[in-house]
Amino acid sequence: MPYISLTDVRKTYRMGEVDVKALDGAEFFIEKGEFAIIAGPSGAGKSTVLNILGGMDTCDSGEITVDGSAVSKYSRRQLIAYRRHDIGFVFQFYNLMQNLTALENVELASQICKNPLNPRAVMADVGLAERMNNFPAQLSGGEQQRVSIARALAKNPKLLLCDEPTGALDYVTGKGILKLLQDTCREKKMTVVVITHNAAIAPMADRIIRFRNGRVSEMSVNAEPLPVERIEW
Amino acid sequence: MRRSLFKDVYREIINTRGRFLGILAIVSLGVAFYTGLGATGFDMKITGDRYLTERRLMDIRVVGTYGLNDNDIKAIRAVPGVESLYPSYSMDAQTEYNGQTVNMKVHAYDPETGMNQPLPVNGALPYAAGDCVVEERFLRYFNLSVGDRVTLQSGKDSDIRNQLRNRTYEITGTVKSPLYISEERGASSIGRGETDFYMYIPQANFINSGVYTEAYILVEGVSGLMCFSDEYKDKVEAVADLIEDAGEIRAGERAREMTAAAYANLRASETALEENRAETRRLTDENAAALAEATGTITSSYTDITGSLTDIFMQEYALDQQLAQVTSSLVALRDAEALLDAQEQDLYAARREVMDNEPYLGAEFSVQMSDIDDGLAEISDGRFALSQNKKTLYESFNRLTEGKEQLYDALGSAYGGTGTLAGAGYGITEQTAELAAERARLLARLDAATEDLEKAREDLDDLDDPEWYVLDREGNPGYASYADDTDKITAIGRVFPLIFFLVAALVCLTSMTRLVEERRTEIGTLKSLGYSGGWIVLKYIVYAVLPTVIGGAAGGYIGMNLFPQLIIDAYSMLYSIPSPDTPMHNGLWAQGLLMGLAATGLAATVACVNELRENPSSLLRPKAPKAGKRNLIEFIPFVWMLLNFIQKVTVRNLLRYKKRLFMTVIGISGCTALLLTGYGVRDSIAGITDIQFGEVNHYNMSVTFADSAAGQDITRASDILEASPLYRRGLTARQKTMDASEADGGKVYQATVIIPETADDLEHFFTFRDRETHAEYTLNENGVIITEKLSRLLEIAPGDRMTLRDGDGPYVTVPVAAVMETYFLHYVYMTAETYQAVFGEAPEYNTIFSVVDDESAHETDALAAVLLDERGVSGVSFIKSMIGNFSDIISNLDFVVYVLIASAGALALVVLLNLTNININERVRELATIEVLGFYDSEVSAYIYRENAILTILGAGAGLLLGMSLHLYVIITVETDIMMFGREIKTASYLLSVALTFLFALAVNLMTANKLKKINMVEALKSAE
Repeated sequence: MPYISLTDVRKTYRMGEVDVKALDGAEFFIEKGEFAIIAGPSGAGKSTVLNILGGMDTCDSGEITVDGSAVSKYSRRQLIAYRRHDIGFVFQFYNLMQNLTALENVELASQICKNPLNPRAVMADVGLAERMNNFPAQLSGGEQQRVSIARALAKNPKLLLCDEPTGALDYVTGKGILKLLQDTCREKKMTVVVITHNAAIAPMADRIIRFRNGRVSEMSVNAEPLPVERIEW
Repeated sequence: MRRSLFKDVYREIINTRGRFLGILAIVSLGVAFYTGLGATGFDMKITGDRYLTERRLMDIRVVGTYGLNDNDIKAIRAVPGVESLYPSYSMDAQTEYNGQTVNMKVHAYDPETGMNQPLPVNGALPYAAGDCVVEERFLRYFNLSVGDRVTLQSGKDSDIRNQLRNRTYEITGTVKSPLYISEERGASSIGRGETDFYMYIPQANFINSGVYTEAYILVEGVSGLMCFSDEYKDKVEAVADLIEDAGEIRAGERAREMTAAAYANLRASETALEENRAETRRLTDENAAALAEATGTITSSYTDITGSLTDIFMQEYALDQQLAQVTSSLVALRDAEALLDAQEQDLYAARREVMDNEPYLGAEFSVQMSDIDDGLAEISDGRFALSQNKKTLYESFNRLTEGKEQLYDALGSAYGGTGTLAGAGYGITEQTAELAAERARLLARLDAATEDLEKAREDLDDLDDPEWYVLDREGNPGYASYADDTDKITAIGRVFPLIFFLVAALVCLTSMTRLVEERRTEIGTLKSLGYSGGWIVLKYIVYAVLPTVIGGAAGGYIGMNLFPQLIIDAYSMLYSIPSPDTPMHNGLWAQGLLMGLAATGLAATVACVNELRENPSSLLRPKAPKAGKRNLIEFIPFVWMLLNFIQKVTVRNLLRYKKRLFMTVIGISGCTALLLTGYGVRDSIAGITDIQFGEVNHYNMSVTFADSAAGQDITRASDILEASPLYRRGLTARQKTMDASEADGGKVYQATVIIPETADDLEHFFTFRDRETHAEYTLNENGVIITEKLSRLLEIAPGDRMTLRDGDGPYVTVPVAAVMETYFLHYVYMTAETYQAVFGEAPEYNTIFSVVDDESAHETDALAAVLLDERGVSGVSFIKSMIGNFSDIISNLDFVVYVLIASAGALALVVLLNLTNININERVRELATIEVLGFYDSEVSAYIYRENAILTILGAGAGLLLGMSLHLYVIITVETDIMMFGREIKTASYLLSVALTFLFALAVNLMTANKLKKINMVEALKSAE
């Protein structure tokens, strides 16, 4: 049994008069400790599947298991607990609390889970030891995304889910963030799932899952993933 | 553009309906309060005015101390400005059911009057002489119904039929009288001194002796005026002054008219009495003379009889003398006979001897014989002569005896005569005594009558000149307080809405600011397309103005219909006026609307102007999220360290959104302030009776005496009082209303000066203490103690001097020793010594303050009735009945409190709902983030509500401060010159206000809990800010 598996997951949104099938029988799996990339054009269902996998949304039908638990059968409260203890999220727009310093943003997450990592240590890990007491508005985009990653990591989650983490960043900064994610995966044996519309970064992943029209069009395993530094796009 | 603008506004409203409705609600609350309370005062006046005009309530009532005669009536009619006049009657009477006696004010009913017409409530107006109408609550009080009978008693010794033709009346219906617009029924001259109910009986029942008790007057040219207006008052007062002038002229004339007749009567009575006295004397004298004559006759008869008796006795004596002679003659006769017998024996013996010796004697014999025979013959002759004598003697004897018998008869009849005479004499003596007694009695009676007449003459000599009391409508029980109450509601109606308008402005400001921020890109786009700032702002102005206009219109409509109706209904427990007119007052409406528009329009403009200042390109870029900032508290590590992480977050968030902080604090403080004001007003007003009559004044009954009462009247009443089992203690004092002013003159207020006879036991009757510190003062020669409100009005403090003037008397100045707590009227307490010193005379006591057992109203009423019967007693009043009136007012205050609670609730609801919604919208990303992080629902709610709770606490705290000021304002507004309300608010009220505020806040939080749950994390986090 794989660490994460999705079987025939369906999700339909009602947009006014029209039903939009965001997921139309998506199926894939990811093994523990893998760095997985979900790629595909806009509207293919990447974000939807990530949201459902992260417990932020629910599917209409199908089965999702994470580490042997059927997440698709979770109640609302179980889903919150799942997010709380098992999931770390990183968003395109960071979603930091503007009113909290970098360290405090990390503490906000570490406060609530069972086995948190030391926020200061995590901040140091992401390379922000010097900027811990700055407010988000005083940080650059890359730095903010690092805070966001630190916040996700501090919870010591089972899964790190990243939705276009470099989407709002320039090339160099984006590369730095991807490296941080890849290093985290390697060093901490963290299972990382990254969504991107940029197929060029696929070679850095252990597993590549391509989405098209709400389905998985292709899933491939990369036996020799490249370090980020060696990828150009 | 116009079309698209309105379409845009319309869609905006639909999308942000919560905010729109918030502005609408708060504006409508403000306008509802403003117009509603404003209109209530108006409507009460209008309703009152219309009712009184319709019932043609007299503008002026003239009451004469000796009634009004035809000349008086003519004089009043002649006063310019008197449109019509109707002379009428009223009197105090009593009626009794099941042993309970009540005081009635009996008014004359005459359908022709055209004034003071009672409004029929039930049944029919009186028709026949024996009909009457009563007030509804009279029936309720005694559980009677139409058709039952009322029997009136005078309440005095006299028979009521001296004044009324009928004693018993059949109730034909119930009425409301325009003379009594409140529950007050005024004073009564009988019983316990207060009127309980009024009734109307046909005027013909009043026995007219050419004198009416009163005259009702309508004044020219005022029927169109609102009767509570100054214009009306001025006009009526002008005419009343003229009537008073006429009254002063009439006073002298009337006195002469009255006294002339009385003096003539008096003189006639005196003459008649003198005649009576003379006649009595004459008659008794005549009788006495007759009796004396009779006595004379008897005496002379007696003398005569006595004379005859003497004669009789003398005759008897003569007869007895003669009889004795006869008897002795008879005895001598018998002796002579015996001698003759013895001589005859001797002769016979001699003869026999001679015969025997015949032989011997021969011639001798014959000679001897013849001698002897001659002797015998002589003896026989002698015997014959004796018998003749004897016969004569016996005849005399018999005659004498007969004469004596006749004498005895005469004696008997003479004695009989004396007996009769003696009887007659005794009778006459008795009659004489009786006559004397009768005469004394008659004369004594006449003397008494003379004395009465003399007293009557003295009274007549001392008679006060008749006086008119010219009373305007404010003289009617309850009329003045009705007018006052309407003014107070209007005054309060000016203040409360301000809170709502302020909050409306704030709500609008935050809503608009948020809206403008949300539409930043749109504004930038429009601006870059070349639209002018004015056009762009217009949308937001319209967005702000629209709910204001709709809310204002609705609020005004609801307010002006709801508030007057509710408040007047509540007041209808106190006031007997028909159900109110609640017309729309467009002026008020417009004012309220303008205030609302000013508040929201200004807020909207302020919100837009900031955004418009930026240039289009910066507007088109997303606004940088408001940067986090360290706050002051963080620089106080000592405090900051104490807070846990979440608390720190809360503090930062609170200080980050300052606008929201202020708005919430202001909104919540408004809510708490309204609550505190409501409860506080109740405390202030409800509390004072308890303090005044429980802690300051301890007497519960006072007996007042007329000016004419003498010292012994007071002693007698005092004795009666002390003999009552209810009596506990009493204090004789002088009570006099005087003009009080500052030592240098200035404003003058009427104050009651109380001069206790002794300063020893005062603490059982009054506590002289400071309102705040409760420090007690003693009344002594150092100066007077005055009541607090008076000291405020006159602006005098202990140590100052004040001036008093008793009527037309001299101005006297006294030092003020202390200021004491008191809530009703103005008092100046001074010792008898001080009085003596400043007024130069000893006080004439006219009041007994007493402490009695007032558990049983039945017993106290009886005591009052007994006292009122006493000479000189002019009134008996009980504190208990005063307190009773107050409890009615307090039940109305409860209603005010409910209205305030409801509006405070509405305020809290709108403010918190609006705020929490904006808060959630504005921070939806933040909330989504923490949800994604895995905060449980309760933690997410707590994240928001912790802030709300702190703001609520801050708001409640500020509200308590604001409430205290508002409360003070309301109290000072509601207070009249002669009253002071408590300034304190009870602890329970503070707690209750805060607790209710929290409750409202909690309710709002529960209402928004769902909204938090429904936050769509995915949507919220998807886009850039």
